[in-house]
Amino acid sequence: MGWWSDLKTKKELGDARRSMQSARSPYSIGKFIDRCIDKNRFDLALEEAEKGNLEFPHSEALTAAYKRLIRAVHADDLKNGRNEVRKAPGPKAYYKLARLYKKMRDLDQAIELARKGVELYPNFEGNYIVLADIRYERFQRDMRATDGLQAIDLFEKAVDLNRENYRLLFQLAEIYSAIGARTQALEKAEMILEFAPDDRNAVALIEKLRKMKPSSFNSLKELLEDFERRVAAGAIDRAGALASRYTRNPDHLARKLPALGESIEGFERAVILGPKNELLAAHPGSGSDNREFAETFKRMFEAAIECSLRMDISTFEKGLFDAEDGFVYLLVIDQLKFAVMCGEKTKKNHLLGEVHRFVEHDLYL
Amino acid sequence: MDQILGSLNKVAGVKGSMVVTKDGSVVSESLGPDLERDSVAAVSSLVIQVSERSLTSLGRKSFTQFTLTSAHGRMVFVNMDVGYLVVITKMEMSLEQVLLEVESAARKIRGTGKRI
Repeated sequence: MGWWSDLKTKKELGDARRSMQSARSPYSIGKFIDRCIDKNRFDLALEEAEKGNLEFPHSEALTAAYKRLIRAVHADDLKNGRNEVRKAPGPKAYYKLARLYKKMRDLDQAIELARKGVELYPNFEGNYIVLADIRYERFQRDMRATDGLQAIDLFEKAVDLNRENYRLLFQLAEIYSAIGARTQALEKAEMILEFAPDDRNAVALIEKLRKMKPSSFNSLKELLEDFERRVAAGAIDRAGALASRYTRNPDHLARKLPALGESIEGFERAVILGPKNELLAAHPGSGSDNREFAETFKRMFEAAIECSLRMDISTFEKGLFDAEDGFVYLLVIDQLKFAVMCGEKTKKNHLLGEVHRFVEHDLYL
Repeated sequence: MDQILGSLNKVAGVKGSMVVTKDGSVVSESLGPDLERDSVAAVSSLVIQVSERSLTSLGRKSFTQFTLTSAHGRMVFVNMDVGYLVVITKMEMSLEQVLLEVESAARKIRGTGKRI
C-alpha cells in the first residue's frame, strides 16, 4: 500500500471512530470493528472489541463482530491447525484446534474436536479442559446445576491426569469457592502449594477460603442444586446494565417504543417484560391495555426458555413465528423480554434488522 | 419419510429431525446420538401447544414456521397441517441455509401424502 492509500484509510477510520463515539452502542462499535476488518487494521479492531465487550457484555452485535474479527485474525492459524489434525494428528493438534474454535466462538466445532481428542488420547488433559471450560461458561450463563457438575467432573478428570497444572488447579479452586464448596476449594488450592509452596495467589486464596463459612450440604450436587434454586428465586442478581437501567426507569423504555413502531411497516404491537416477567412497557396503549398481551407473551417465553434448557442448547435468545397473517418475534436481551407483533405487510428481514438496531443501539443511548 | 429425515440429517450442522403430532406422538424420527426421542417429542409438543394457544389468544392464525435460536443451538418447527417437522441444528450453519434445507424436506414430506 502506498502513502496515499494509508492516508485515506487513516481518514476513513478516523471518521468511523468519531461516528461511533458520537452515539456509542454495541451496534456502532460493531460497525467500527467491521470497518477496521475491511481495512486490515486488526489491532484497532481488537482494542475496540475488548473495550466494548467489557462495556456491553450481553450484546449480540458485539459478539458477532468479535467472532468475525477473530476469524479474520486467525485465518492462517485455522488453516494450519486443520492441516495438522489431518496430516500429523496428536493430542495437542486436537487441543490447539479445539481451543482456536472456542476462541472463535464456534463452540460446536470446538466440542466435536475436543471430544474426538479425548476419545483418541484419553491420557492428555488438554481436551478435557476445553470441554470443561465450555461447560463452565454455560453454567455461568444459565446457572444450571447439571452444567456445573459436568464442568467440575471434566476439570477433575484433567487434574487426575496432571496434578501440577497451575492454571487448572487455580481455576478449579475458584469455581469451588464461587459455588460455596469450601472443602473442595481448599483441597485444590493446597495442591498448588505442593509444587509451588511460595505462590502468593494460592496462599491468598487459602486465607480467603479459611474465612469462608463451611457449607451445610454434604454433596456437590446438593450444593449446586441449592445454587440453582437461589438463582431461580431471584436471590442472585443477574441483571446487566440494560436490565438494571430499564427496570428502574420503565418510562424511558416506553418513550422509545413509538420510534420502533414507526420504523417497521405493518407494526402492530410491542410488549416488554422485565427479569421477573413483569410488564415494563408496551406500545400502543398503556400498561393496563396490554396486560392480557403480556400474560400471553409470558407463557410463550416460558415455553421457549424451558425448551432451550431441556434440549441442552443453553439460554433462549430469540424466536420468530411466521404466519400467513404476519409475524410474532420474541427476543431476550439481558433478562429483558421483547415481543413484537407485525401484520402481513411486514418484510421479515426488515423486521429483524430494525429490532436488532433498536435493542443494540437505541436502547443504549 | 424416514429417508427424507435421514437425508436432512446429513446436512452439515443438523443434529436431528422428527415429525411429531401436536400431542407429542412421534410419526418418524432420525436423531443424532445426543438427542433422546421421548425428550424431543415432549419438548416439541409443549412448544407447539403453548404457541398455538397463545397465537389464537393474540388473534393470530397458526404459525407456518417457528425458528427458535438459543446460545448453543437452534430448533425449527414447520407446521405441515397434519403434523410438525421439528429440526434441531447446531449454530455453525447460517439460519438462511438451515431454513432452505428444512423447507425442502417439509415439501418432500407433504409430497409423500402420508396420513398421520
